[in-house]
Amino acid sequence: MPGSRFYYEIRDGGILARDDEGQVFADGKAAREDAVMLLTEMARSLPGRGKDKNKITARVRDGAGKLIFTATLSLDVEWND
Amino acid sequence: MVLPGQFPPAPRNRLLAALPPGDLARLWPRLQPAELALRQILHAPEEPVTAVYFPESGYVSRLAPMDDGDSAEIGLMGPEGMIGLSILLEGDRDSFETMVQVPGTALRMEAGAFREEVDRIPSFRSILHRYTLAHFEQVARTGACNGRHNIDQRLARWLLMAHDRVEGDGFPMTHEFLSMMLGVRRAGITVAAGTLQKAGFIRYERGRIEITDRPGLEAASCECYGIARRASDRLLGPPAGATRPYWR
Repeated sequence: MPGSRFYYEIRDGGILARDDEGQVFADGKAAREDAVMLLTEMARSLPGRGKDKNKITARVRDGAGKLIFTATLSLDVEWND
Repeated sequence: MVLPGQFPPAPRNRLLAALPPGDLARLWPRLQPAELALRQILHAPEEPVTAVYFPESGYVSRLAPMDDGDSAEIGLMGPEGMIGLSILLEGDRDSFETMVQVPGTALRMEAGAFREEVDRIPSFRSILHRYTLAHFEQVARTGACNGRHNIDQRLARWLLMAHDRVEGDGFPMTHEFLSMMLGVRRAGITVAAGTLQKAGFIRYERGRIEITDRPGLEAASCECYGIARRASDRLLGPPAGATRPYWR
């Protein structure tokens, strides 16, 4: 099963990271699993920021540049006052 | 082959270099040169260990295999140490895979010969015990660090440890490999490495990483680098010549 190359674009607050090399996944579902794991791992970087609203976004495109999915991790604190 | 009355050359392995010359001369005939080839498996999980290695250059990765086929790196061993601690500790194998990560050379000793010399030479036994403790500090600290710290901190720590084990400031490394070693998705490595590069601490180009700002990289790491490093320096002494200024 050859799989296809998928390309990440990750946005975390002001930081944008684009992966130009891409990674091979069997299909979109496998890429999705990778993205979910990725955001879970990146969540460790949220403590210590002191922000009530946190969002990390991973956009995944195919070789033609077409957007396949957007995965978002949000962690919000709502003060009750 | 060392003739009687002829001393061996100064070893590049730090443990051997720390031995009294007379004791090193006794060991020397039982040490053979060996190559450490990229990705070579020196010891496989659960397989009896037949020889120990004293790296002179390059280093190995110790990997804990998982049922799903992935593995996580639990330690690094280079010219500061010895590969094959299970023999020293009176086992004959362990559950880890020892794989060459940066190629180089080593001095190799058969397991049986090693056991005999450990029994016979107190200075050899002593420094190996101290190295074992220093290595335990590194591995245990890695466990604590993996449970708490984030990718940026862990990547910085790992790069410092690799830097300590190579000559010069550059070594071959890919994001793919780092992803495997740190047990995180490759895209997360790309983000973290990008942050370190933007800060000027490293430069990554075509499968090679160069450390361009050592103090900066130390500041980006968690405390785990410093704690294990201080333990090692206390037990074994800091590296001779100290080409690695250590700010923390």
